[in-house]
Amino acid sequence: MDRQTRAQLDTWVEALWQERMTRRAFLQRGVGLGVATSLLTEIVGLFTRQVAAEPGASPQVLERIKQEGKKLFVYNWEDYIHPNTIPRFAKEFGVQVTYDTFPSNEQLLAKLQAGGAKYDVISPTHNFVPIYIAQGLLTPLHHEQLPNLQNVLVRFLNTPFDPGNTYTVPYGWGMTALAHNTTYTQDDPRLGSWALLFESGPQRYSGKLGFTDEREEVIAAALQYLGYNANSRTKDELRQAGDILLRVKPHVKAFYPGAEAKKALITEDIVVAHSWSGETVKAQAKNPAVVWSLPKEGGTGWFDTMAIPKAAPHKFTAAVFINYMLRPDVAAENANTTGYATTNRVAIEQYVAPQVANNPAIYPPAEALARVTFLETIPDALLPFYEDIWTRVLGA
Amino acid sequence: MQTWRRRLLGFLHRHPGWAVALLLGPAVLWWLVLTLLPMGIMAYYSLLTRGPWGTITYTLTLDNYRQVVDPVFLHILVRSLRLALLTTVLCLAGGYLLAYWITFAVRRYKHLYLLLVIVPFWTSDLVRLYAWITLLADHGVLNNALMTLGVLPAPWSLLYNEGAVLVGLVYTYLPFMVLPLYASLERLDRTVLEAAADLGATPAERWYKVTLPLTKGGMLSGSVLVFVPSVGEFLVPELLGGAKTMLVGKFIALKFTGLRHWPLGAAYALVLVTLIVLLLLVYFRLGGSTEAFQTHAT
Repeated sequence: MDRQTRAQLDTWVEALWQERMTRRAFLQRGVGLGVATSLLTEIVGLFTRQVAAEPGASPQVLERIKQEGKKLFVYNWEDYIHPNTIPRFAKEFGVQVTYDTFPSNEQLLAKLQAGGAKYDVISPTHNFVPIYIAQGLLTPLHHEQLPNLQNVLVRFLNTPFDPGNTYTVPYGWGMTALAHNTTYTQDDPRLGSWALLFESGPQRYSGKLGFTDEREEVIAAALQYLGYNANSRTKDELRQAGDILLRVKPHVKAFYPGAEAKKALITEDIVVAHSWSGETVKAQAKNPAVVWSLPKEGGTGWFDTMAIPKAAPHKFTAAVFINYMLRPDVAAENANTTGYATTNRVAIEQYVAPQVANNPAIYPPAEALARVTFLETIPDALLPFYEDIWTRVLGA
Repeated sequence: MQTWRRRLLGFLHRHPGWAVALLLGPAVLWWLVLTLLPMGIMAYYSLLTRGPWGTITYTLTLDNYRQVVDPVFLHILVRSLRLALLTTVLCLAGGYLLAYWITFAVRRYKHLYLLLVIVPFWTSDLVRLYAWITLLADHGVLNNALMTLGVLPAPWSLLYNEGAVLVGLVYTYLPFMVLPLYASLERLDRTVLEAAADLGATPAERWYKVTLPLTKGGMLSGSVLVFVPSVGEFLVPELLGGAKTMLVGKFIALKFTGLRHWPLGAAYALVLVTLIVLLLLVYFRLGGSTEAFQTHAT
């Protein structure tokens, strides 16, 4: 209570004492004053609130974070983090974090290219990383600032997409294949094949088919159904994939942006879908009839990364954040809720809940993993042809 | 103070050019900064070259305009124009009824009704479109209600088709029609209507021969305000159309994001703007030239 408020209250107490004011009026005014004061405190607090750092982080680190202004802007995929992860970081390092999400790689890239958005940490998917590097949009990482990088599974390190992990470190990984609702599909002879979507789809589930709107993944699914490599660069094969998609399109409910398909799977608005593994897992938690299927022709795999844009205003804080995300307990916390696997070896060994670790939709057994093709970057020279196929599919 | 004011007025009186400049200045500045400058930047970009991986090389070329002739673009453009036209017609019909009703039938709290037309603008259009998804989905509010009541045996597919896009467009742009129509109806000289009645015109004739011609200005400007943004609409087909009903806004966006060819995207955008301006010129010519932006006719 500030001095003015107290003085006001004193006058009223005095008035009450001298019976110039009734008890009721005193109470009314008192409550009014209380509400007004707390509102004012609240508003002032919005401008002045400081996050106090937890003890534990080293003083040098805290000092550098302080020099950068104790702020961090994180731009991540939708639905891709445990609700406690950011608050915990904010508390531990005394940083005010602004957390924003994006629904597609193209959107993230366009935003970065435009140059206006000053994010500190972004999470592009592995096959987009070469484009960011070629355009010079990322800052090289100082590995001595990222000791927790040693926790990451070797197979996700030093990939062709970012040799030596100069610019990115792996975050979560997942697959894109089939989700279907067993109430509708249990007696379908095409179970376990992309034919469930591309052949049974138009016949049995017309209007109840869903797709993600990730161009590469949708075209890859059609390629795999046709028996071609998901990374095919043959124009004829790509054209055939486009034709298949055009044929199935009249029966498709929607090409769902980002994490949208999950709701439709839960409510059974769609019953067979081209879907991300994690969204399927989360849908299944709400509707047990929804199941994950990695077709015999194969599915696609991807891993998301964490990187620091060249224009990032808080580069050191960003590195601290990335190192924090690579901590086994933090990585496991994320993996336990997002429905996607962590690339963190120590996290899997020590922290991930058994029901998550044993879920084939999250950590596929070796024989299933063999059917997962990790997507490669579309060569720049092929892009106009490739994009034209996609435009025709969506525009028809 | 007085002398200062008198001196200024005297100056402006002697130099009418300055008076005009002062009066037009803010409007011209607005137009320069918010219309001409962005358009200029876009025109400049449309003449640049795409570098490797979608970077921009500052070499001037007309190549992008040569690529614009694409049958898919034409197909999508026709669809966009058709949907925008339908939206405009529906908004005009619905908007006229609503504005007419508020003007003539509502006696008290007229401004409350107008406020109700504007209130949806206070929330993000993204949120409002998600509300439509909740309403129209197969297991959404509307279908569930109709199935519970036994009207429908199975959900009726309302969402993710052209119909849903049309609903979204009409919903989004209706206020742009209602407000100019209300303005022109409100300013309608009632004595003219009385005179028509005295001269023996039936209510239908009064509306057709007096009210309608006198509110043409509102109809024209409302139609432009609805039609132009509907053609380029991006969010509604994306969310309510399930990305299946591609309109020209998405087509252009894909040039920027999917193809990473900003100069080509800019060229397409400029072609679209030019086309719309041409269409509007024809429209004004047919609709009675300069009346379009007058909210009342004399």
